[in-house]
Amino acid sequence: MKTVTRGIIAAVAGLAIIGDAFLLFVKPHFVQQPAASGTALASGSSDSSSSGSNKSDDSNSSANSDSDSSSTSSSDSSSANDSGFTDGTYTGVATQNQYGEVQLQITVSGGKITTITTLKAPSTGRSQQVNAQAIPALTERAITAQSSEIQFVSGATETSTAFVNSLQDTINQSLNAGK
Amino acid sequence: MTVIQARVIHAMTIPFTVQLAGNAQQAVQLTTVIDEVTPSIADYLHHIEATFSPFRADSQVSAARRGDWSALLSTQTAHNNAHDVSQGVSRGASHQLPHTDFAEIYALVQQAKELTHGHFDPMHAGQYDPTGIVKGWAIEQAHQRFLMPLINTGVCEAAALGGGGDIQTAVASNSDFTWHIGVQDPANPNATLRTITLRNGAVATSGTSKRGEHITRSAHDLAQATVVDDHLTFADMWATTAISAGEQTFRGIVASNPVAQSNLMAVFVRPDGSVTQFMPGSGDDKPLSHTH
Repeated sequence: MKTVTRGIIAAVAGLAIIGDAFLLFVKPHFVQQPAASGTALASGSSDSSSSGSNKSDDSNSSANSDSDSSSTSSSDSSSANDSGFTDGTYTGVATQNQYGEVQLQITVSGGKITTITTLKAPSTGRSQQVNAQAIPALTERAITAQSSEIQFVSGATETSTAFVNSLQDTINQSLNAGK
Repeated sequence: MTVIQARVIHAMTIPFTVQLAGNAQQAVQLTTVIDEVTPSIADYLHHIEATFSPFRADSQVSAARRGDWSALLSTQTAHNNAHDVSQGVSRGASHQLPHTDFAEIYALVQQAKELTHGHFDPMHAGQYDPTGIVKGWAIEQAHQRFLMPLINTGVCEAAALGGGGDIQTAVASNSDFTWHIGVQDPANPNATLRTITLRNGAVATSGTSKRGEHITRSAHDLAQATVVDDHLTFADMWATTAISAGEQTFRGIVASNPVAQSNLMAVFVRPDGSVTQFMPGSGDDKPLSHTH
């Protein structure tokens, strides 16, 4: 009986280790596979949906990967696409900003756009550079209690229809009057 | 003595405010300069609206909604990014994709969805809708294109562009000018709750009643969120995310992103009117006593 119990415990522990190893070493590689998630291109047809794919549940792991991607595929039936484009892969200029780098890749087949892929390249080195530069900027910023000397109002409700006599309108007029 | 001139542009159903600040020598020319630059900014904003408005049948976003994404391959764009620091990379026998505003926004909204753990979603009711990021991006672009050259050539000391309550600012490095931006009280539009001081940066506010944004809310513990970041595209994205995700989830998302962690500052207004400051980069993250 003792041996059986010991055997069961050993088996359970072994499985747990294997499971951990899978989650740790194997699964992230699945997640990193480019173009893993396809989404039907939104078209006018009612059956097109954003379909829960592209759910960025891989966002945590993306920091560990050099590149990551999401892709959108169109069905061949989306006839609204202009035909006449040369078949092949089109790679866009990378848009680089403080939060990383994104690049579009488009596949044209039969003169039509068939897939739109977003390549992401979060670069740790670049992030650290940005962080270092951001330190002096932070010291230039502050949040304080009320002050009467403001030039702008940041709010959620400013519209063209309600602008006249709004706080921003009043400030603008006061500035122009040299007050 | 610093002089500030202000002009207003109406586009995208919201008012935009242009402000230029100048010293005594610059003051004489300031009116002329702002009257020259304002129509250029207005033209640019109308051009962006024509490209991205989901309410215009002839916009590129409307075409994409009909399944026609050919704008991604189109070379016709009135405003190429001359200042773009990035470089194209060719892969194999591939073609170079032209850099267009439409393609840049498509890439940015995908990045935004990733950064915000899906709380910022360019798909609204099953249709492509980048509206939530276009306005902040357009203000940032217009500021970079039309106002930064005025600072860089010494025409003014500081320049800012705001639209619908979101602002991008800049100050010449040899000037000691500082922008002061009031955080509006959601309960009283004529009052402000805090003042944010900054030189180069962006401030965006989202609330429960913001126009032009389709915020899907998973929490209702914030009445208003104001975020300070370097660029308005992202300040706006984070403010939207805070309202969508709720305070605790938002704090978690920021904590998981080193860049956001070091860059962001925020002012939250809870439904009961209490005000909280969120300054993760400075370690100064404490609820303040209420202000009213």
